[in-house]
Amino acid sequence: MITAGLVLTLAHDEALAPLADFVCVTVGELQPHNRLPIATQCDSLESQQALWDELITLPGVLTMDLVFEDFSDVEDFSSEQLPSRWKRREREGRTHDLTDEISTDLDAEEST
Amino acid sequence: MDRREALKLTALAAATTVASRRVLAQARNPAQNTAAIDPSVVRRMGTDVRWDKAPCRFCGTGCHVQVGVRAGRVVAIAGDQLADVNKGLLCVKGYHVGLALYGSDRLTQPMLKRNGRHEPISWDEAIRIITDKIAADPAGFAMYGSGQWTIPEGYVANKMVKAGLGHNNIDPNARLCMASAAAGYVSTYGVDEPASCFDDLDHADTVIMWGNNPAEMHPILFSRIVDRRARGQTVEIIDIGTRRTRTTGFANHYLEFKPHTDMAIANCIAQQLLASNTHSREWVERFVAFRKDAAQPNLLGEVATFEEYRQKVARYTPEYVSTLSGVSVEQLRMLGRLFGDPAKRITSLWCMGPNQHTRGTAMNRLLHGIHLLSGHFGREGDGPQSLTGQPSACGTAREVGTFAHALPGGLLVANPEHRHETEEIWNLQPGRINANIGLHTVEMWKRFSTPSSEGGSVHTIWVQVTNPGQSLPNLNRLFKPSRQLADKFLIVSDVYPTATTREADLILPSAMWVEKNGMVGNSERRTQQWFKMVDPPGQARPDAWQTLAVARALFDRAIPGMRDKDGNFLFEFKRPDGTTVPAWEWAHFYDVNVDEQLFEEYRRFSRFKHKDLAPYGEYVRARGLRWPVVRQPNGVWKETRYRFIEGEDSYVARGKRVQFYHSTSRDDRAQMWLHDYVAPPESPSPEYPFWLCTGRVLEHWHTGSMTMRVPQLRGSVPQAYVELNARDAVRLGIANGALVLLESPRGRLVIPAWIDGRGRPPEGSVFVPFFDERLPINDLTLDAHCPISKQPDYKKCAVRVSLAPAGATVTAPSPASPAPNRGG
Ligand code: SF4
Repeated sequence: MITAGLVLTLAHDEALAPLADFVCVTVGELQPHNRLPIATQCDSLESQQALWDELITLPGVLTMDLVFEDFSDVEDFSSEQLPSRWKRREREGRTHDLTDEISTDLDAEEST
Repeated sequence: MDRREALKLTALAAATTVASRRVLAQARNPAQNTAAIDPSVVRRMGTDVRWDKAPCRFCGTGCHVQVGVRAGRVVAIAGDQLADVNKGLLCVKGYHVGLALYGSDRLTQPMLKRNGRHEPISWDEAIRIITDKIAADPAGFAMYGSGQWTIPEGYVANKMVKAGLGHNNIDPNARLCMASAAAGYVSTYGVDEPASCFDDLDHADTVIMWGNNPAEMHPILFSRIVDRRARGQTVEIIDIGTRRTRTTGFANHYLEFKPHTDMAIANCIAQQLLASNTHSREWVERFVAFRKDAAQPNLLGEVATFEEYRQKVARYTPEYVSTLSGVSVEQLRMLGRLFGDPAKRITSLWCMGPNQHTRGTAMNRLLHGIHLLSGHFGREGDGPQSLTGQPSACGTAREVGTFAHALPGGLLVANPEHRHETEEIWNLQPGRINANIGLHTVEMWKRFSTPSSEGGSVHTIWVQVTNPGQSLPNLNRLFKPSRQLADKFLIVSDVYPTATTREADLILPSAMWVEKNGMVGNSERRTQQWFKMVDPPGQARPDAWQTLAVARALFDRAIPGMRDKDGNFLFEFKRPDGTTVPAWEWAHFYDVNVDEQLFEEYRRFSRFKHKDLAPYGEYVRARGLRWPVVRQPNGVWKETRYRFIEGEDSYVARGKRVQFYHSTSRDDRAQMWLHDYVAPPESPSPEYPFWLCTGRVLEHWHTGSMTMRVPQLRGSVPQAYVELNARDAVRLGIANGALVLLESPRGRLVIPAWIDGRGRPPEGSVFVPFFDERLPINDLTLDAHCPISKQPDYKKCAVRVSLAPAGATVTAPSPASPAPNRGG
């Protein structure tokens, strides 16, 4: 489990409501200048990243800064085992056929 | 309460502490704070976690982290609330700096290439092989280092080469990122590095980004700016760029210019100031002198007059420059009005855009010039400031003087007095320091990749802390040919396998970050220190030890340069009782604080150019100090925020107000340079109709050798891509994600397209990041460079773009025979 503390800067109070839908997010008390402390707890680095990607794209979330992270449960990882669409494609012998996944990935990235 | 709940509360408490602060990411007086991290974090993490400070391993911002260590392993990272630079915040890279230690493919033992395979060898054998190479051919040996060298690491390497081998063939990769900025400062103020500091970001009315994308490259600094908006302050952002980036999204004005025409835009601002008489008469009369290039461009140039300057810029009217640059007349006039308003506080920020430029030194001078001409200088929020990409590009490359032309403390090998001072401090025979400037990066690698029979005089290169097999420009000319030459030997010290280690003849495993003691210097002259916290894996050892061990082995073989004039080894380390510690033996390396002793010796150089550093112990206590750090009558060591300004800088004489005390005209004036716009060496043509710009992305640090091993970062941006404008894509029949063939006169690459993605190049331009070693865009870039700084231009060359043929794979085929080179 990976635990992180973050500060979201919100454009307005209404941005608070959607955060209640995230079970991995614990929302703290809204601070002056619409700064919101939150904690996130995820099972893996990948799911943490996916969550953060989603949080930063929520309407009204201006910036997201990280303040604390505990990764004592993360085991050694190898660059060969890293999550990579590239590796998956290589394994599947599809290095020439990137169209679907790349466009999806990059479209998602674009919205951030 | 279970552990999960305790950790959650810990995280929330830390976030609440930072969020409740009145001001994020800035603090003038860290002494007012009581703790580096929230005490509740310390309490809840438990007494088995030991916390200590360190600067982040990655960019030149120099954020401080608190590192949590349990049972010999880094397990947690917290923002350091005492740090002036980041005030408890870190960007996504900074938070994963702890994880970057723990990829299981860390290099853990020396390896020698035999019959095409890397085979483990002992350290003793590795040191012997290097020593054999150097002893046999000292003049054919060169060192290629980095802005990621710690200060002591760079100092040891510099002294081993310049004192020990008697030549100056050592250069850092910083040549590729900020040599133009250094040349700009030296030729303008007579001394390197910014006069101002990051405090400007808290006070500027307007921040101008000159070809700069800090939202991705210096995110904490950018947060510092946009956080002011969250607090209800007005801060205007002007983005002057060649493609839309994340920074553009926050900008009030976006001025898109045709590549290379930034020089004309700077001249246009000067033209308007003079035409409207809104320049600062006081600055022109009291604080500046004028210079123009000599026949052979150099740092000093020739004396010019204000009238010549006026005539030079007269033709850069908004109308003319608009035609040249593509920026509208109204936008250019807006810049002219802005600089003409003395009430405004204007900060200019730049990084690779003006630096990686075949007229990089000139462009840097012009940026300083418009600030000097308008008097926008020396107040909080009002001045020019370059940023660096590496954690110690300033601290090690520039201040320790690991460039081929430099000596420590801003001294120069070409200056007899400077050589004399160096020989005094190093206790060398007079004349030991070679007066000839060594080989700059491009020349060093060119000679390494040229057969010995054809003038390739460099035979062995030792690379430390960098990845030239991926980051050099024009790899097909500067790097790859050497790998086919039997008498060229490549030694690489690194922490992970890279494009360079794969091609190395000898690989040395290095300790990284908190696996060793260290000191670095960030972009605002801030020198920072940390202690070793965990052991490196396997047999990995600090680069400073590696260099010391080789130097000692050379000494033991009676190589004369490794002795000082009294016959002692160049590097002596003493215990408090005065006995010598053989720190070159691994078993004794940590018997004393080698960093401290090297730093105290290096510190003696810092007085010559008023770059005074405090004793080591001051840095142990502080979160970095900005030089000059000057001891006050009350014994306090005072750092300097604004150089050359009375009341801020201890070296400015009373009553002077502004004093450029290293003025090259020796009259306390800064130099304003006359430069015309000149066309780039390579532009789009019918054969190669697109501009190619290369650069970085938020998630990956430079060549990705560390960040591509962090799952979150790699997961976010798993591979490189080419950014294309949507109209170009339609015209060429390229869909998002389709494979594109990029070709330049030097190489080609098949790479997926990202159309109107995170960055949005205009029609006729493409952008490719360089972090992905599987997609080496530097096969295509050119090695033409600035004639003064010798920094290559990675930001513009000409390419052809087409849909890759059916069946093409994402690969980077090297040309069967090297393509003709058009680089300079
Ligand atoms: S901004 Fe730079 S120094 Fe700061 S945390 Fe990010 S990478 Fe590290």
